[in-house]
Amino acid sequence: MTRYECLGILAPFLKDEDLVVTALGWVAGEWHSIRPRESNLYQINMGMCTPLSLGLALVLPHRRVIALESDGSVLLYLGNLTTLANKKPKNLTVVVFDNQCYLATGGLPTATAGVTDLAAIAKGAGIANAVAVNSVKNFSVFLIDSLHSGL
Amino acid sequence: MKQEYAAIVYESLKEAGINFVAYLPDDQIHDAQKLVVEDPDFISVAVANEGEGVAACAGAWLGGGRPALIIADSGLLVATWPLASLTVSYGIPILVIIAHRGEVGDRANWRFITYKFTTEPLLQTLQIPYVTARKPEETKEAITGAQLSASLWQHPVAVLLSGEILRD
Repeated sequence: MTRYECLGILAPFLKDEDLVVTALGWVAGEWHSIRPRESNLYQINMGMCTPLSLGLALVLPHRRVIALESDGSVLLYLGNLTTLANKKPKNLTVVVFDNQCYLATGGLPTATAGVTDLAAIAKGAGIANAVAVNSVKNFSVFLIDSLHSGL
Repeated sequence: MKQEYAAIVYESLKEAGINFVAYLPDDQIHDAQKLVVEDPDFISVAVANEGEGVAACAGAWLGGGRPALIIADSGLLVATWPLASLTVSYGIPILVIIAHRGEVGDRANWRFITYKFTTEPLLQTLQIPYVTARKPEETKEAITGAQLSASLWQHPVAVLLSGEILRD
């Protein structure tokens, strides 16, 4: 399963007005190549993609917000998962592409390459519907589920 | 902070048009934070780390809200990375309210001298303009003025609350 394949699955589900925020790194360019829209916000620096998306989702409850996150970015501000869990806006979906490394800076491993399980951390933070998917098919299933449980 | 002073801070935020607040509890400004949290007209977000509070405020502004971050000096130190790389570099006008300790004459103990050395120099280094309110009668103008400037400049602006306004 590649990130690009997943982005290709996500794009057709979105309306033009759906807001998409990407983390720093190659995900931004990949997403722009698949869905170039003014409703995208690209290259949000380490740690800030999910909390920024949370702020957007809370002030725009009628708009769908998707955060395209990375493992390194989430690990920088792990506490934000607890904030997200407690606010739990229905219009926000966070997709974390966990490639187990800091790819954009050369590929040294993140903690998830070792013993760390981000989905378990998210669940422990209180995000009850957090799920880890490892195949394109499962990504489609859980993405649809997530988008439908929101707006 | 006396309850009547907390009310001044709270009313000033309302008058400034603030409708989104990210905060991490601090004993000196707790009573003002509580008034905000209990008011459903504010969207309030209790953050685990002031840095994510900056990012949440940035998102709120991008979505049309008027955000404020209410923190202590220590929180400013924690929040420097998002303040520098998100709000300053993108020109996102968030209001930063800081309960500021460590001024000469403050009754705070030795631990707080750190903030005498860090808070104002840090704001200057980050190029975040700020105003200091020490007296209750200065506070409303400081907060509404800072929000006006943030909005006109499209830039974060800070308010340091210090001295009498913070005292119990």
